[in-house]
Amino acid sequence: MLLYLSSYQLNASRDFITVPRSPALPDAIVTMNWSYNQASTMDVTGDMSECYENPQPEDAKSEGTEYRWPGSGSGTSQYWKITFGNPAKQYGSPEQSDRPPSQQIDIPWERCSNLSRTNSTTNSSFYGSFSRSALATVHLKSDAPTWPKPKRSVVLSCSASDMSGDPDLPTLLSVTAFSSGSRMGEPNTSPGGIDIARTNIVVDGRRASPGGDVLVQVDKVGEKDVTPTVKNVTWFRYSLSKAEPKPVLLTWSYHPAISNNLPDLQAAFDAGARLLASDDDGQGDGGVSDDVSCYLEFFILKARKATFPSPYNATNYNTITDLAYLEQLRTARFANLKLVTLISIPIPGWPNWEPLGYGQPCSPGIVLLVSAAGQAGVVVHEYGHTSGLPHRGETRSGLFDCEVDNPGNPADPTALMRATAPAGPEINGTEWARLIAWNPETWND
Amino acid sequence: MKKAAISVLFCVASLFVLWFFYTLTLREFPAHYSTRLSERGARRDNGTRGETSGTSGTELARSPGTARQKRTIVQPAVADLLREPWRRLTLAELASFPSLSPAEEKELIEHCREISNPTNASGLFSVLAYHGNDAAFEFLSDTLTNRFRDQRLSAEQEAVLIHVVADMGLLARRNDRAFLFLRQGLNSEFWRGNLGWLSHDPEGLIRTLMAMTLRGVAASGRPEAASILVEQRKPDSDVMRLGLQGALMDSAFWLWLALNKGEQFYGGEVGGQGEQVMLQFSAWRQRTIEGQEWARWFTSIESQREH
Repeated sequence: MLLYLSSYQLNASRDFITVPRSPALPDAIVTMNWSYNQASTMDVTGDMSECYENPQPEDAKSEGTEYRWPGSGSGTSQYWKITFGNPAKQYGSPEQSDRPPSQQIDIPWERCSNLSRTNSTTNSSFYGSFSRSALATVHLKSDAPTWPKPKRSVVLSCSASDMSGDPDLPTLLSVTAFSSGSRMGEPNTSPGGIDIARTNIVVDGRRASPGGDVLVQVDKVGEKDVTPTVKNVTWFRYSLSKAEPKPVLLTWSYHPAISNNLPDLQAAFDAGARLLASDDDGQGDGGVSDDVSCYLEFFILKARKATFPSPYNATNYNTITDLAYLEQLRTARFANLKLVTLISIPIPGWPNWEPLGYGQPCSPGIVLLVSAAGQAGVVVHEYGHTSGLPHRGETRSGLFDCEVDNPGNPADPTALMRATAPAGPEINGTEWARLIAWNPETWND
Repeated sequence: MKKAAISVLFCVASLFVLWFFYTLTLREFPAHYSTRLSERGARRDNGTRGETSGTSGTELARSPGTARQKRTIVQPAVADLLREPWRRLTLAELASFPSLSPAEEKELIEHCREISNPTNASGLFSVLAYHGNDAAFEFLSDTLTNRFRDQRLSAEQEAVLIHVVADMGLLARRNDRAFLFLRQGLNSEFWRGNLGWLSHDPEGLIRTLMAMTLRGVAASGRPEAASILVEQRKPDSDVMRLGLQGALMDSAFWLWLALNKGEQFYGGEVGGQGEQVMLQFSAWRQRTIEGQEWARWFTSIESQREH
């Protein structure tokens, strides 16, 4: 999985509005169009028409450097100037220029939306305006045609710095010399920190967790833009790093009487992984209702016995009316996930029990209704049970070693582990700990 | 003045008599009837007070002046039940329901008889099974084998009656006749000869009734039920012949729960809803000697299907 800078566009200018001033402080414009593995350019122009009270014909009115890079390898840079006495561009000799990002010309991972500072007061005699638009896009790419499922997951960790709020910006603007770098001499400010936990940072359409993490799923042969957005920050620089979510490998099989409308279990578990990863209440209070992120990648593979083998191909294992058949099927090791048509079991003193799925603590077998197995909430809820989680607000039965108490409000509609369907999208710290600690055995006998 | 007073008294008495007969006509609609009776509870006069049950204060009151000596149930739980007689009660609700005196049992049975659709009497059936005795047995067994004879019932109605078979086990905790009924029900011929209504799938129904009979035997919580269930494992038993090994193993679990958890089970404190039940079933199957033995037997029966 490759995380890479895909493109960079920059349009920046500074326009000093006082005269006279030194030729070292011209007005300036920098434009850059850079793309990964494609021909790219940068033009840096300084305009000194306002820098002379009595210019001589040989004085440079404008000067600049043109950079041209092919898709790969080094390119060239070429100095040029226009004098007050000659309006034609006069070029110097081309020189080798390493294709950026390089030691000479870096490319900042930044995003700036038309930042503009006009009439900034400085502590010298200069006044200036300053504008900037910049976008560095980062892509996540996968090229794994043999990957065992359609999508791959990665956890992107994002941090960001606010570049727009530095109080020293006007001062720095006045004294920074023109440079030929992509930063064109605009202020090299001290970036302000962005509190990820309290700031709405979005990557791939999902809000980053308070730790700055986001689960991203990409086609096994494909790529997507993962450039972050930071709400209410005009100019920010960012960094992204990737890590692997915890892999979980489960197999599935179905009763042979189920002839059509098989659900896409992999898609359901992938959607379930996104539910587990999302933390939509921000930093929260760390309490039993605080949503947290859990990063899992489910590999849901067809079992060697794609349909139930004998004796599980009998009707009793498809329309299940007895605890005995349900448990016998759940514990059968030919697959982890088994799809059936109906579970309806008489319970003394209760209406028939008709669950959408059934899993037990500390055991990796799950029986799912074929009609419900496409639902992300159902599949990861049952997976949660296998890890040892009771419903939210319930205590452990004490019958199985891996069980834990699951404190919280049983009626919380946002809880994934709530007792009654439909399940919500959130997990708390207790649930996270069990899900991360759980290492289900893959059944494929 | 005296004449006027007598006239007023006469009018009041006439109104009272009219009101009383009005309430009698509402017996066609038990829910309304029970509501009115409970509202009327505060009006009982001295000398019309009925018995009070020993455990929970169920009160019966004779309606004043009735020639039939009709007993009227005014205890709020009973009134609630009669307001929603179709609502099946949980074990916890049944356990907290007041005990029934013989008179109350008969009264509930009378109400039950007036409800022609069994679906609308599901709650009454379960209360009678949990708290009734001989009269309840006679009524429930008649309901299962005779009352709807020649009627074709809907699937929903059939489901209610099927549950009555298992509920009969709650009655069989203390009623020998109910237990004997269940023992007879383990023979398919019993149901063939006593099938209480017309079914689209009589053989399927008999199979289901036998499965529920097994659950009823378990729900009786009687120690002798254990050997009865084990006996059904014989290959020539009707239970095995009809392939009811799943229901049989379930019943062994329910009986174990009833015997080992006793009032906790009958009070709905263990068992409970499906996922809790499955936790206990799974633990019983894996961790108790009895459960392991049943699991081995069940697995061996199931594995024989392959050959």
